[in-house]
Amino acid sequence: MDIPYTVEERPDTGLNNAKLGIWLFLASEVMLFGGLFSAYIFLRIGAPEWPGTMAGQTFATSFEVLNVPIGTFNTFVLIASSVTMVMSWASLMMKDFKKYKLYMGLTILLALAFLVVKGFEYGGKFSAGMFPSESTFLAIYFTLTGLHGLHVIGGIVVNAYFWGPGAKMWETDPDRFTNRIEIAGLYWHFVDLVWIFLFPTIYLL
Amino acid sequence: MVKKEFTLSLKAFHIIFIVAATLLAFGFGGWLIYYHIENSSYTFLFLGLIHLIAGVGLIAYGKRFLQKLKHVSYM
Repeated sequence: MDIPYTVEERPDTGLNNAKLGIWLFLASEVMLFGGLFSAYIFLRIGAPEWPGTMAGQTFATSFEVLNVPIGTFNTFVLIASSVTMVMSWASLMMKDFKKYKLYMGLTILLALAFLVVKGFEYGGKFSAGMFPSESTFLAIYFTLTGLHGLHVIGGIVVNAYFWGPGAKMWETDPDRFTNRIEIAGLYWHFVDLVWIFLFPTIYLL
Repeated sequence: MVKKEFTLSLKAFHIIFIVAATLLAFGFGGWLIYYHIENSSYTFLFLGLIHLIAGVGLIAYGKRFLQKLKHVSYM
């Protein structure tokens, strides 16, 4: 039995089920990250000094603690990955499967590069004795960036499936496969948009 | 009933993303140049100019993207 409304729109919602599902999921994600951003704001308002003392040193600004050039590099990486993601979807719209494979592969590689750089950044903090338990600033920094990192890993898993075994659907049901890539692209753009807000909030302000 | 106007296609979400990235590029570029004025750090001036150029590049990319996908729906 075929799953209904995977490509065509349901008459009652005016949407296909996949698009309705992803927007409901993204709405819940907005609440999750929104709650953590609110926590960050209230912790910061209530703190006598920010970011404060950690690993035996007192810092006056967050960009003295965090590595802004590395954060900037990662921002460029994620922006580039969003561009390649939308290009992979556009390639399928133009029935060019080879280009889809190229752009989706690049998206996965850029996401992996983001995680590797983030790993080096975390390693630098840990080797300097800066752990989440050290200060409120570090606790919220590791919570927000760690949760975002988990979302990046989730995106890599989904995109890697669509690049590899999941791509077989292109031969049997190309419209549904194109729709799947659009849904994956919406999720990936959300993850990147979170970073666009996260980077200036934590690294610069 | 969910109205179609409340959802966006990847095209529309990409435009929103590019606008946010452009604002970040200009905002961060301005912050870096301000930091240069306060601390006379030419590294920050250089990085600030790079970000302003990146902001202009993102606007150009956004325009080209809209032209290329003008036949694709926003919904």
